[in-house]
Amino acid sequence: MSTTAPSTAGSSQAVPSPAATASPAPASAAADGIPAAAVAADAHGSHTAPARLPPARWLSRLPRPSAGTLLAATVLVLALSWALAPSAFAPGNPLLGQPRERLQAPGLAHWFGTDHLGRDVYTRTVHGAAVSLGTTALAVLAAFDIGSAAGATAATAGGVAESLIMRTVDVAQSIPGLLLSMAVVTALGFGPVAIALAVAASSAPAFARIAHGEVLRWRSSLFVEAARLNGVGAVRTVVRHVLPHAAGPVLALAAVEFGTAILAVSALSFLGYWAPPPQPEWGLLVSEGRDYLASAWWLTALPGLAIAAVALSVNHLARRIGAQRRPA
Amino acid sequence: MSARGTGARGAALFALRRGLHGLVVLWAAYTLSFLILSALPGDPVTIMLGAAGQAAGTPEQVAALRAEHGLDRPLALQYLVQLGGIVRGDLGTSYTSGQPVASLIAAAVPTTVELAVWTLLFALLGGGALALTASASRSPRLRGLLAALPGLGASLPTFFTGLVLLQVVAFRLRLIPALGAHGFAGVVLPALTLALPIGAIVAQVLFRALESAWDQQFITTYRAAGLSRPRLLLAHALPVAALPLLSIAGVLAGQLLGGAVVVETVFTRNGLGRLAQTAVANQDIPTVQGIVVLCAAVFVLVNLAADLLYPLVDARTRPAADPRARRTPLRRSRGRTAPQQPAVLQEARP
Repeated sequence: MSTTAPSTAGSSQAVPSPAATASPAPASAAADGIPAAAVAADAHGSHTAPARLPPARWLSRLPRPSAGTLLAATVLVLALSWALAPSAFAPGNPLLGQPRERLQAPGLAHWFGTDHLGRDVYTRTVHGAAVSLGTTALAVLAAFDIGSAAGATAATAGGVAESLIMRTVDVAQSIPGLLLSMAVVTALGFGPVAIALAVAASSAPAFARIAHGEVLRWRSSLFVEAARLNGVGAVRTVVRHVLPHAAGPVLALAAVEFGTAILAVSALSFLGYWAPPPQPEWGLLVSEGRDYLASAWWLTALPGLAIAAVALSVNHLARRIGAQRRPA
Repeated sequence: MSARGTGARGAALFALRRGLHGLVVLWAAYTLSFLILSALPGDPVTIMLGAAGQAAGTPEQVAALRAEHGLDRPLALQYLVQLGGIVRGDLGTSYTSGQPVASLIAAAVPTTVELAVWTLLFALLGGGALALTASASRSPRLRGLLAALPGLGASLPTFFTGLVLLQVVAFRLRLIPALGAHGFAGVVLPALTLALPIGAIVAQVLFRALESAWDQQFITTYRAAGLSRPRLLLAHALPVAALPLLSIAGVLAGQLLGGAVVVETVFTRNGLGRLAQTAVANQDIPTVQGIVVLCAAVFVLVNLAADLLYPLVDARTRPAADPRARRTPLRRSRGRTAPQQPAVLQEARP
């Protein structure tokens, strides 16, 4: 898609400019058939991410969002606002209950009803957003870092190191994700950080695999070879010239994995591996409501609906991003 | 298989190679789980004393427990001793119950197998029906809507759908007792819950395969010959499109076992998943490790079975014993898209 971009500014040079930035010497770039003016413009311009379009142009290329996309974005923005400023949406105390108002059905006073201690379920759901989404974000971030580092290292190092890392990835994917996470929880103990690392362990192999493939793909390209010929060190070549290109598909995967990780984090906390119980967390809220399933449906259904809505929205947007990256 | 002799020998060699590869994967899965469970921080003896209700044991107690479970030996020796045990079918002793892990697992397997069989049945029927309806529908709007449904099914947390089903069917409608039901009444709700994410995968894979099957030449030929659309879909496109399902069988088995942990916890069924859930809650390392190794073994076996079945159902992937024999069938099959089409139509194609 970048080949159609007209070159209005030096930074929006689409295809030839990576080669130009990779080779500081204009002579070698000109030999590759790149206009000297583009090289000169690039020499003054920033050296980072030459293939990226300016933000305004990138936005205008997006198709008009459908109703589903708008809805998904709204849900996500709402969930993020809950996480960032819970008190603005639910001023009450999520830990303090009013025993006189216990097990109230949803109504105007309590939107999501109240639990067996008279705590407002809506307040608890809003205040739980930060830990639920934070743990998920930590999990995806850790998986992204560990997985991409392992995959990129494997592709760069080659030989024994590559086969060792990539075979480990294969084997890790032969164990069901949730059970791999549970094994890590057994070893690390309970709590949000352990759960985040456990979920990271089950999604890191996917990152390693895609980072490995992408680095292999870009490593053999002309501009990377040019960088190497110009005496740029191996590590610097990878960080400066290979990784920015490999980032796209890896980031698209991160969006998909975020949706999976929300479900995995809430499943692990539902299974009872979330250490401090009074702290509200979405999976834990559903799990606590199980004892009142027959009498108080709202205790499980409404926090569960919050998880489902966020997971659905993330998955929907991730699919849109994926479709955007692979134009038919 | 039609070809005997060299073909049979080739198939046997192929099976042997795949089997050895499976054993290597299994060994590596054991090693990985050992590394995770033993090398990460967390002292099993402290956990065992904690499970027994003692905050901190005397040094003598700690040493005795260590010796009893072989934890005083160096890590490499523990690894080898355990590996030797697994080869002989001994998965160690549970820290919390003191029973052999192998017998704990054996007691839990039938419940999970019952769940898995019903789940697969529901998932294949539901996912297959959805994919077929979506692929057969001529209105693009309906097709888009149906094709989007699997994504919805895969995004719902399993524990949430399970609890909603339990709430509505058992508590509101009182169709089925909530707990303690035996036979079909006991398994239908958990199986439906687990069939939702699994059926979603089936539907997605099948729908994509059906869509690409429609574009193939033999379908065009059949269509030109005047076959009706339903007959084309069911008798000719579906057999070809069902093949990719075989290659994701291992993934489906993994999803089933992982999902069983949540579903069996929600419906309090004493299967493998619930065993895993309580073992992790009690940090019972041998039991967790035994279940992880078992799941890897199931994954390996299912993939092995799929690998061996593939040549039987798809002539294009049949291995040949000697390279000269391999060349001809492959070249002949390059233009061919479906193994089951009649010879007359093949000849008629350009």
